[in-house]
Amino acid sequence: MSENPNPLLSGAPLHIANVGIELIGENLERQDVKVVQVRWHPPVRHDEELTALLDTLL
Amino acid sequence: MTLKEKIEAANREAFSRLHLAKPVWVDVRPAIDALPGMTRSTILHAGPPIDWNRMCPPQKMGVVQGILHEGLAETEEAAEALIASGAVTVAPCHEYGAVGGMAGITTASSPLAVVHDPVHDSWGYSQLFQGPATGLQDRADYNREARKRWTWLEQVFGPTLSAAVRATPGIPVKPVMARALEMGDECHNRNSAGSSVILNALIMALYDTCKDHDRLREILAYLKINDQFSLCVSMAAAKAMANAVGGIEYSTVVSAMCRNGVDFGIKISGMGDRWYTAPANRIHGLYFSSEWTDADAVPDIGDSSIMETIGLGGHVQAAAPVLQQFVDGSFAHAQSVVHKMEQITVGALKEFKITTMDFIGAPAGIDIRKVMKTGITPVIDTAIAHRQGGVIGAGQTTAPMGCFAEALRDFGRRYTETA
Repeated sequence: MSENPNPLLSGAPLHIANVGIELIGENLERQDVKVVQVRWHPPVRHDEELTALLDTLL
Repeated sequence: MTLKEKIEAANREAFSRLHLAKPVWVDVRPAIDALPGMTRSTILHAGPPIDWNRMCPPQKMGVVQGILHEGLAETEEAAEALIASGAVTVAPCHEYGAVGGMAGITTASSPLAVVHDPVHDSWGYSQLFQGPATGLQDRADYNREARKRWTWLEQVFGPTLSAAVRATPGIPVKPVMARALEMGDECHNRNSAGSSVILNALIMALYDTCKDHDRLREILAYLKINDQFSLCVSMAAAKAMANAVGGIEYSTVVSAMCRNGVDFGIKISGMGDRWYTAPANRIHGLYFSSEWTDADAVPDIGDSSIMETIGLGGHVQAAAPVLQQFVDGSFAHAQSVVHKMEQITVGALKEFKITTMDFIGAPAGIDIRKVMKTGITPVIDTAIAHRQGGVIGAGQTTAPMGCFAEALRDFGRRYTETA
């Protein structure tokens, strides 16, 4: 175990999985950090009519 | 078939029409000759229908200048009186089968690029660009220069270009757009490559048909400096393609997207000619001069989003990485935009390849169900218009969610009741 348990501060290579907002991952990549981007966003909330329509139509 | 299956089949048909279309640039004609229903006292504008009192300042100014230019009135006050009395018809370009960039002002004399898709016997028309704006600091100067340019387009450029285009077998526009994509355009905000390809396609025909050396020099000088010129041909082609997508029962695919600086409007293939609108968004971008700020700009305006309607422009942003400078972006950002557009579209148009992304096809056929399901709306690359007319910057924006929600509710009312 390294002296500093925080991997962001230990100097060891980072392996990042960035979930959602790409901007965070993009900025890490600019710092030569390897990033795997997971495309995800919170489910969109609609009113009952639209939610029911989407269930019926899609 | 279930309702879902009918929608899927209809959307595949819509996508296949985009794929099979072969739009060809065949002529340049005055609007009065080209557009069905056009009259001497009709002034067309960009975007969905809008009442005169809600119209944004540059579009109002353009309509008034169009009336003066056509000799329908002698003063701005008299022009406004004609509008108020209904003696002049003010209507969207789209309602006449045309599209117009920015304010989209199209009058009876305006020369239009005429594009025909023989596969679907579909026509599209677009105004020609007046060229770089001058006199932006003074409204009277700007209007004087714009009308001088309109006269030159009508009397010199239009007829000369018409003769040259008719001397060719017709210029297929999809290959022009595909080549432009390979050369760093996304065919909306960047058209440098496409304009060179168009000039290359025209130059021998211009040489053969224009025997007046001075006139030929003027025409070539215009084409040389107008590196957005190919957009008007691309827009006419896109309109012809989008027309072919319209009118498919059960289809949830978008067949038109446009803006008038106040409202953003869409049409849906399976919902006929009805417009669905929501307030147009502001544009995130870069101004061409430090003297301009957001306070000088109107919200999203123009019919050029017909390019995103067929899967180009913002949908293929990674094809034109240089445009990221307008939005302080990155190539990674451009790629992520393309991937987002994949989530809201029917498929990838293989004839429009993004070379920088391993030759994937352009995400095309916007499906309003997917827009609402994901919360992702189409990204539009676009220019920024000054509140008093003229282009002052460029950047990107998004279509507002409201018009998609309204369209889906209406689609549901129509088709769930008849299912």
